[in-house]
Amino acid sequence: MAERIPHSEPHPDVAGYLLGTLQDDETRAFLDHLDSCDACQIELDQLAGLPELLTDVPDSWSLPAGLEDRTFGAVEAAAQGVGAGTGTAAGTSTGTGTAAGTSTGAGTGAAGTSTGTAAGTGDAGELTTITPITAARGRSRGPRRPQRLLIAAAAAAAVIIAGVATLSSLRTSTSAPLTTIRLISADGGPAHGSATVRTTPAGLTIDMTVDGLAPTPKGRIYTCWLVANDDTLAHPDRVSVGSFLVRGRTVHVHWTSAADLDRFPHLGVTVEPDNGNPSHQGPKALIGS
Amino acid sequence: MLDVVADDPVTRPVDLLAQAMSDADLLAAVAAGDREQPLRELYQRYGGRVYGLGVQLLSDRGLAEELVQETFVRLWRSAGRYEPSRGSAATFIFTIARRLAIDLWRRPSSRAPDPEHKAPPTDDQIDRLVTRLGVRDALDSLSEAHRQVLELSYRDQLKQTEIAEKLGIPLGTVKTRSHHALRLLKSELQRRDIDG
Repeated sequence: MAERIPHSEPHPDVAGYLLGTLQDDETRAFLDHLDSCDACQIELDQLAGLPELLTDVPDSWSLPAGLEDRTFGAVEAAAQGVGAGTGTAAGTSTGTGTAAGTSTGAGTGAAGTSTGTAAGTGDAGELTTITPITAARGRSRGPRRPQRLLIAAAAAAAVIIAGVATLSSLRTSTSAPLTTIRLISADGGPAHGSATVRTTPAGLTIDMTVDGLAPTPKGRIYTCWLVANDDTLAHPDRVSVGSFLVRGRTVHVHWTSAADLDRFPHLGVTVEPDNGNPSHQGPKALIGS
Repeated sequence: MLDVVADDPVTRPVDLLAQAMSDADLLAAVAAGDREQPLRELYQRYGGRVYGLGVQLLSDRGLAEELVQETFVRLWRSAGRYEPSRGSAATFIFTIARRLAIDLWRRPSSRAPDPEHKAPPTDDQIDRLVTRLGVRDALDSLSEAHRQVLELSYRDQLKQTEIAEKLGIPLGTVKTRSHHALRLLKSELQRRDIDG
């Protein structure tokens, strides 16, 4: 047995013994010391649970760029009383009017078409909020926010306010005025576009032009949605406007929809599996702002 | 300190205040209506682990992002329901996240068509995953030198003599650094409500 020698610092091989990184002679020497050292035994006991925790540690990961801003944009939208804001929904669309399937180019009342000439560079695999068209209603200012969020919110509000005014006139007139909704990439990428909404005796027409959206992944399709304020993961409330493929840089799509804008005032584009399931299952690609 | 304030006299003191607050205090501030710095501080502390939960559980970065967004929207909405006497803030936050993750997992497209994995993950499985993510998060909070010596030990299975040779530092330094690293790791795990 080793001589009992009081020491203020634990034996230098406590960690190596726990981690199994000592040479055999070092291990023997440390065990001899441990027999006569209560302090090192206590230290050993305190750290004894760590090696097991270290046996199955996942690799490091990085949070996607822009996710914080998108997350707090979703919180801000929810705070404005326009729903959860993240546009997440599982299950079957439940809206009245149109509920187009996920087959390419399908839309209620009109087939969607898409054209293009070059591949875009946007990453359609990431998400963001589907911005409500009518989000400007009752907008109030919260506590001080970082400048970047203020800028984004101000830009969105300006477009949204314009959209609200036009959509209000859409509901009170039969003269088919226009409203144009700006579309931006869900992940801050280069994809962008616009959607023009008109009224017709048969319902709404939506003409969408998109630039820079990534080519449609294999087995996937892009789907445009009109989303209700109360759409959530647990209680989906949205309708599909139609679906489309991206083969080149620019895409033009035309749909007709019988959806009620009062009930489904949000617009967005997601990437869905082309599996015949009409429900929203995939991540967002474009948001209306 | 003066330099920090002079650099950004408006926002930095707020950031520092939030950083000094406990998770429970941050949730109380969010419940009181402040959805900025307190919620952002909670995002800094938990956003990575919630995202990791999504990546590990759903195998889809897009769905993982969706999980993060929805978790923090729910957190903002439900912060007032948090009662410290019933559990830690971490438990409260991951209870929200796990429920949402299960909802996302149930989407047909969120998992590979593997007949052996039809059942959603159990609470125990998710608990273990959350713990593993917490360990990763704690490791990543260590200095590069401390993290490196631990990773070379448990991941690369190197002896201390080999670590010293690989890093070009004295063996004594490896021993001291390993012990400090374990001590710091334990402290970081305790901050994350993980017993180790």
